[in-house]
Amino acid sequence: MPIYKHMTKQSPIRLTIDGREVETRAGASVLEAALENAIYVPHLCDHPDLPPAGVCGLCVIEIEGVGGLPTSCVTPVSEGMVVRTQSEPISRGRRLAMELLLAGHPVDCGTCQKYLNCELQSLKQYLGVEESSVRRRAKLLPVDSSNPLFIHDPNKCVLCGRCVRACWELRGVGVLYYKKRGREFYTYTDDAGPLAETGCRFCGACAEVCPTGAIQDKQELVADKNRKAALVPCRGACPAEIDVPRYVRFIKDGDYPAALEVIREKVPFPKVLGYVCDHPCEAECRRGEINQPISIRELKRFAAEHDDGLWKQNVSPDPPTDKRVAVVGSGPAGLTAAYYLRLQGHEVTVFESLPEAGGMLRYGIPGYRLPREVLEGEIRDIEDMGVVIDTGTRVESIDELLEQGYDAVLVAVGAHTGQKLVIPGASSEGALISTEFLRDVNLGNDAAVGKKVVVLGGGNVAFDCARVARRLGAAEVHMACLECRENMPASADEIEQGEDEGIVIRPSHTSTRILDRAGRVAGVEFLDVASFCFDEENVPQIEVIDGSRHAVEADTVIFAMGQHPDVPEGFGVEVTDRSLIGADPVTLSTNREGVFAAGDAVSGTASVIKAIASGRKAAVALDRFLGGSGRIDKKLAPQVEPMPCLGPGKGFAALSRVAGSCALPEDRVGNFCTVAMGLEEGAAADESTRCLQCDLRLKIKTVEFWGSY
Amino acid sequence: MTVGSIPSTVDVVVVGSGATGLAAAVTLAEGGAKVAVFEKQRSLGGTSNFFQGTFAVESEMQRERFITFSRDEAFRGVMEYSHWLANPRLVRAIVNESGATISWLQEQGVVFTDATINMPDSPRTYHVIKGRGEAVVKALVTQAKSQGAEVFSGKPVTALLKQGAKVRGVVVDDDGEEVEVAAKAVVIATGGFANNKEWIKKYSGFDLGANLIVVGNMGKAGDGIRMAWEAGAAEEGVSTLELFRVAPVGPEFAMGCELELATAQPDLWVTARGERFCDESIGFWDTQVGNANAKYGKNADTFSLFDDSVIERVADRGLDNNVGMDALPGRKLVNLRKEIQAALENGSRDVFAADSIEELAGKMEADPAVLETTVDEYNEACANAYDALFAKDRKYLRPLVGPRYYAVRAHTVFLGTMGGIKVNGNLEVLDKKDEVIPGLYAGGFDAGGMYGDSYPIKGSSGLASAFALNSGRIAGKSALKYLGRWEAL
Repeated sequence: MPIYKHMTKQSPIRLTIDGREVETRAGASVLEAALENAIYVPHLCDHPDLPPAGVCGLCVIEIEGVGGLPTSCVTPVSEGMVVRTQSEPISRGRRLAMELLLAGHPVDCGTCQKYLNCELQSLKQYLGVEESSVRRRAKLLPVDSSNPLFIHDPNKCVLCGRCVRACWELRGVGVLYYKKRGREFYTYTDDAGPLAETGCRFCGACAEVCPTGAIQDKQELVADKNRKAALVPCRGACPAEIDVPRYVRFIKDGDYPAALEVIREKVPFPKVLGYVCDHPCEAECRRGEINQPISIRELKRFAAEHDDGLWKQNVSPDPPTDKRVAVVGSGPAGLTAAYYLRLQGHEVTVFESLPEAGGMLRYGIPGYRLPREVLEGEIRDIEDMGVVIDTGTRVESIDELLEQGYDAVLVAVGAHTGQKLVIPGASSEGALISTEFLRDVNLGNDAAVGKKVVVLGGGNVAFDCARVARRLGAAEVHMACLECRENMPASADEIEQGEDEGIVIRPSHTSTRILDRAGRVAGVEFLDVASFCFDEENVPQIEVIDGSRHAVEADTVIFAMGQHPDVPEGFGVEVTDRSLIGADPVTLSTNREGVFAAGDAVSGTASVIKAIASGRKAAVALDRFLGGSGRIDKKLAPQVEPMPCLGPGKGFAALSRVAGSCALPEDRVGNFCTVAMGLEEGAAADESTRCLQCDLRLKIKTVEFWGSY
Repeated sequence: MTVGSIPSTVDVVVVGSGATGLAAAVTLAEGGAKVAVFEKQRSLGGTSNFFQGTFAVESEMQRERFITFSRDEAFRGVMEYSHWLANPRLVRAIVNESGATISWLQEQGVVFTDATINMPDSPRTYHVIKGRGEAVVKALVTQAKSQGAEVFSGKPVTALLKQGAKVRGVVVDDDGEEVEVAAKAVVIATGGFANNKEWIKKYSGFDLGANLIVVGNMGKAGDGIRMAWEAGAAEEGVSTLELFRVAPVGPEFAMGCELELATAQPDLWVTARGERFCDESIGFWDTQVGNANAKYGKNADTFSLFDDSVIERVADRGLDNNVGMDALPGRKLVNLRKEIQAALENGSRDVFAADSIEELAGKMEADPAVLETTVDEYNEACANAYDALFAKDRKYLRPLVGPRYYAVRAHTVFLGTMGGIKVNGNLEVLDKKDEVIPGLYAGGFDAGGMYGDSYPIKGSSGLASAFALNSGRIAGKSALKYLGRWEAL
C-alpha cells in the first residue's frame, strides 16, 4: 500500500537512524524521518509533494532484522526500528542505481541549462559516480521545443516519473504518460500530440518537479531573471507588485470583494487602474505564449466595480507619530505616498496648485477614458483616512514648507510642461502643446480646435489629444510620429480605439516645418523616415527618405512629444539636465535632507502604475526617514491556500481572451462618455478561468541538495 | 530543516563554492576561523565540477615519476607566454604553491590517478583527478563542514559592506530578503562573468550566444567582480577568455559525442567562405585553435570537413587528437555514422552530408568554387606530403576522397572569463592606487593577472583549476594572517 504524506495525527514514532534516536510521525517513510532529522539519504524519484514511487533505487538503507536493502521512500517507519544509512553494501547499491540512471543520460552538463539546479548532477557529485560499469548509450531522440513555455528533451529523462505523478496526482490534469520509442522510454502526451491539444493546463508542475533537464522552461522566459518574477511574470512585471494571480483566483471563485482587497494591499487606486493602467503584466502573461494573455486590467476593473467597502474596516491610521509630511502634487504618486504615510500615523497635507486633486489623472487623461466619479471616489477614500488636500495652493519653494514645520517633504509635481519642436512655424497661431491643451479641456476652459488637426507624437498623450480633438468637433485628425507602426509607444487599445474613431495614423514621419498662412497654422510639412533609433548616448538617430517631402493640411497642430516638471524658480531642489528633479533611484531622496521626490517629476512621463509604485517607494523611504518601519504593505484579503488540484483541462488551451466591449465609434466621438464598457459577471468568470495559475508552481516544495545537510 | 540560519557575524565570508572558494574555506577553517560560504546556485562547485586534472610542479607525485620540470621553468614559461603581461609575483606565488597543494588535496581526500600530460610536446604538469572536479568539490565541502565552516546554497551575496577603507561584511539575498553578515574579511570567488552578455561584448567584443558559446558556466553575471569594483578595486585582465573550438554545438549534441571527437581531428577545416584558416594540428592545444577560430569565426562560423575515409580511420585506428581525458588518443569511434544519421534526420543546421564538394558547399552556403579549390589544393598537399600553406605535420596530411563528404559547423567556445579584479601575490585586492583594500581577497576566475591575452595551455595544462585552488589556498592563508591567526598555527 502506498504511503501518502501528512496522514492523520497519531502519536509520534521513535526509531534509531545511524545510532541516533529520532522521532517522526506515524505514517512517515524512513526517508522522510531521516531527512527531517538532518540525516541525508540520496534520493531522486521521491518528492515531498508527490506520492512515493520507489523506482530510482538511490535511497536504499539497511534495517535491523530485515533482509536486503529496503527502499527508504516506500518503507514506513515503525516503533523501535533500527536503520543504517551508510554501509559498503548500501554504497554499492546506490552506485549501481546511479550508474543505471546515468547510462542513458547525455554527458552534457557543460551546456545544459539545468546545470547547478539539477538534482541528478548534485547526486552524481555526492555519490562520486564517474567510471560506469554499465555500458553507456546515446538515445538520439529529438528534442521537442514546439510547445509553448516548455522544452522536452527525452534524452535527459531518467524515468523517475515525477512529472507523471505531478500531472496526475498533484494537479489532477492527467496528460503525461510513459512512452516508448525504439528501445528507449521517456514521458510525454499519450498520442504524442501537442500539449495544447491534450488538455494540458500549462501549470508547470512537471517542469518544476523534473530533477533533470528533461522538461525545462524555455530559456528566453527564465534565463537571467529572478526565478519568482520569471515564473509568475504578471506579478513580477507590475511596478506595484500587485499579486495578480491571487486576485484573479478570487474572481474565479466568485469572491469579488476579496479580489479587490488583494489589489488594495498594494495600491489605493484599484478602479482608476482598472480603467487606465497600461498593464505591463499582460505583456508578460504566460498565457500569451499559448494564445492571448489574460485581460488582467479588465478583471481589475471588474473587482473594483464589486467593492463592498468592507476593506475600510481593516484600514485605519496607526497611532499618531507627531510627524508632519507635506506632499507637493496630488497626482497618483503624491496621493499614493500621502495615503500610506497617513496610515503609518503621520499627519499628511497634500498641496495642489490646480483647482481639484488628481494631477494628470484629472488634467491629462480625458474623461472618456477615466470617468471623473471613479477618480473622485478613490480620492475621497484617501481623504477619508485623514489625508488633507489643499487645492489651489501652489508651493513656490521647499523652504516655505520647512518653515511651516513639516518634518519631511515629498515633491510629486508630475511633468505638466510640454514642449514644441524647434522648427519653423512652431509659434504660429493654432500650434498648441499637448499638456496645455488637455489641461484647458479638463478645466472647462475654451479649447477650440479647427476642422483639420495634426497631432505630432505617437504616445498615449498624443492619442489623448487626437481623440479629444475629435470630440471637440475636428472632422479630420492625423497623428504623425517618428516611430514605425510596430514601435509606436502608445498602447495597442489606444491605437485601435483611435483608429475606430477615424484618426489617421502616419507612422515614420518627421515634421520639418509648420506651414502657416498669415501667422495661422495651415499645415505640416513632413519627410518620410527610413529608420529611427537612439544611439548609445540616447541621442535620436533619424534617417529620412530623399525626395519624400509632403504636406498635410491643418488648421490646428498639437505637439505631444515629451514633458517635464514645472519647477518654480528657486524651488530648492536639484534639477537634472533633462529638466527632471534629481533623486536617488533607490531611496528617492533629493540633494536636501528630508526632501524626497517621486513620480513623473523624477522619471519623466511614465505611466499611472509607475507613478503609484514610485509613490509607494517614496512612502517607504519617508516613513523610514521619520523613524517608522517602512512596512506599508497591508494584509486585507483572506489568506486562503489555493487548491493544488486543477483537474482535467480538455479545451483549456483554446479558451480565447474575453475583452471588454467599447461604445460604438459613432456614439462616442461626439461626447466624453466612457468608451470601455468593462466585463459582465459571466465574462469575468470566463476570463478568470483562463488563468494558468502560475503562482501554484511556487508552492511546490524545493528538494534540498546534499550540500544543505 | 537541514542547515542553520544565516549567521549575523563570522570571521570570514567566502563568496562562491567553486575550487577557489572551497580551498579558501577549508584553509580558513583549518586555521580556526569562523567561515561562511555563500553559493548562489542550488548545487555546489560551479564550473569546478568539470576539471579533470590540475597543474602543479615539484609535487610529490612528479618526484615519484622522475618528472623534473621545475618551478623556475614553469614560472618562466607562463611569463614568456604572456610576454610579461602577467603579474610576475602572482604567477610566482601560484607556481610555487602548486606542488604542496597536491599533497594538501590528498589529505582532504582527493585521489589523483596520475601525473601526466594531455597533449603533445608539453611538460608533465597535469595531475589527473579520480572523479574529476566533482570529487574535489565533494571532498572540500565535506572537509569544510567537518572543520566547522557553514555552506549555504541558493544564497547569493549581493554587495560588500565597508567601514572606511576596511571590509566589514556582505549583504546576502536570503530568498528575496536582504540580510547583512558582518565579517572581518571576505574572499571573492564567484567564477567570473561568462554568462554576462553585456560585459562579454564590452570587454572582448564577442556576441555571447552568437559568435561565442559558453560551456560549463551557469549564471555567472560577474557578481564578485562588480562588488569588488564597487568597493574600489582596480581592474586587471578582464578581457581574457579561455577559448577553444567545438563542432557541433546544440541541445541535440551531447558534449563529448563522437561527432565532436571526429571534428577535432586534424583533417580539413575551412572558413565560411571555404578557405583553410589554420594548421589543423594546432587542435591539440585548445588556446591556439580557439584563437584561430575566433579570428575567422567572429563574423561567421567555420567548418570541419571529413569523408568516409575519416569515419573508417577513426573507427579503425581511433583518435589522433584527444578531447579531455575521457577520449584519449586511440579511442575508437563506433557510433559516428549513427550520430551523423540522427543529426541529418533531425534536420540539424550544424551537420551536412553530400556526394560532392560542390553540393556540400551549397549546403554550407560556402562558395563552391572556393571550396573545390581548397579541397583540390589540400589533396595535392597530401599527395606531396608537404603543406606549403600552413606547414602541417605530414603525418596528418590525409586526402579527402569521398564518396560521401561531411561538414560540421564549428563554434568558438569558451570555458570562462579569466580576469577582473586586480590582486597581488597574496591575493589581496588592490585599489586604483595599488593599495591593499584591507580584508578583501579574490581568486580564481574573478582575479586578474595570471595571464596575458590568452590561456597558456601548451606549457601549463591545468593552470585554470590550479589558479583557482592555489589562489584560494593563498587567499585563505593571507586572510588568516590578517586575522592574526596564521602565526598561531
